[in-house]
Amino acid sequence: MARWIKILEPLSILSLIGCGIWIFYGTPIESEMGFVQKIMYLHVPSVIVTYTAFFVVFAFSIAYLWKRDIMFDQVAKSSAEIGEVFCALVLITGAIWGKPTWGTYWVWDARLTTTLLLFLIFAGYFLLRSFTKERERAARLAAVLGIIGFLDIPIIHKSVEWWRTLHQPTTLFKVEATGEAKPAMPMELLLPLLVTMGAMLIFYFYLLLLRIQTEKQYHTLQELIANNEGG
Amino acid sequence: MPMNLEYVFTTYGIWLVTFILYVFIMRRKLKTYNDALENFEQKKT
Amino acid sequence: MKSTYKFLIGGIIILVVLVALSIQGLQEMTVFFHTPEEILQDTEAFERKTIRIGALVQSGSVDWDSKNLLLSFNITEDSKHFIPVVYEGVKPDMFREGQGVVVEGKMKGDTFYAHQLLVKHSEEYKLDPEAHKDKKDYYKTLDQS
Repeated sequence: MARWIKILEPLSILSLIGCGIWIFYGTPIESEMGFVQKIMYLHVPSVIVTYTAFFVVFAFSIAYLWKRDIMFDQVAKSSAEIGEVFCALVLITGAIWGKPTWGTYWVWDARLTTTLLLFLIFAGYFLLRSFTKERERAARLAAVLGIIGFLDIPIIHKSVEWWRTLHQPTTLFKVEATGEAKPAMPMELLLPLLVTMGAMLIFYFYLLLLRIQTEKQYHTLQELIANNEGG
Repeated sequence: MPMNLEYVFTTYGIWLVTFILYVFIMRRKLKTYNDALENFEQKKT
Repeated sequence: MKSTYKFLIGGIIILVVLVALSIQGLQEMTVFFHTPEEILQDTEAFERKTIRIGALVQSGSVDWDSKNLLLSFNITEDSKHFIPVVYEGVKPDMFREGQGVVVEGKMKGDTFYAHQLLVKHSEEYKLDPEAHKDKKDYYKTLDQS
């Protein structure tokens, strides 16, 4: 794992820097929104990472409840923490983007409300962990909440179709009347977006491994201390 | 068309600062734990 | 025993209030705006209530009085039902004819007086071919705009 961290660290940082240069020096200005559309390359990949991170929480929470191996809980907890940071950034970048385009930082429409709900559920996840003293019990309860919390994501994703929202429908591909899926933006804008998504996912895996490693070492240390005191 | 530079640079700035801090804190924590574990090992031998 | 009941009753009250609040919140969330058609079908029901309407700005209907900061335009969604809107305030940068908007305010007679004007953005992103004839223009657009 330490080796993977060493590989992913420069890889993810360099690819993010590369994306930054591409976004600001090699990508044309969008004609409706102008320069402020650059926020899309930060906002949308952050959404993808948030979804991915909470999916990992979902999968490893189920695995924990099934196998009761504390290792699975460590992965779920680590991914939840990173997902929560990205979720906060989605809300913040979205709000700042909303001001010049919509004319407001925040509205209580379905997209924004359900995204805030996701953030609050996982805030509850960490409160629950900190309030529950016993390790196994905390892991069990958190796993249940982590699974429930993830179920909000399909709702967020579909919210723009199910309800009337200020937020625009999902950006990447648009289904034509003929039933054909067509990119909703020119290739010059879509390609840097997709590449930035890839770079940000690599960055997520780097953060995840770093966080898991930290959690593991902490766990080992605590056990050592407990054994030393006992013996 | 208005530039709205401040909005773009604020979002990118917040994003960057968040992760510079996060990685910094996490790496320092990991180093502390690694060092502590090494100390334990040395005491044993 | 008594305190258990107290907690139980307190818990139930809090739960009921929470459920009621979230149902109301959900209703507001799910019907974030009405369409002009819904308003015109039942004008009395919406009279003097603060509501939101979402529709497109009718092309050629926009009148912007920059001295008095008065913006008036018609909104429609199906090109059959039109509502004239009057908005007092700064015109948003992204406001255009044919653009989707969400206005918040009150119906007074036939006219909708908006105190908030939000611009909807479509999911489509476009490039202006004229502005990007050659690669150097990427920087130029940055400087000019």
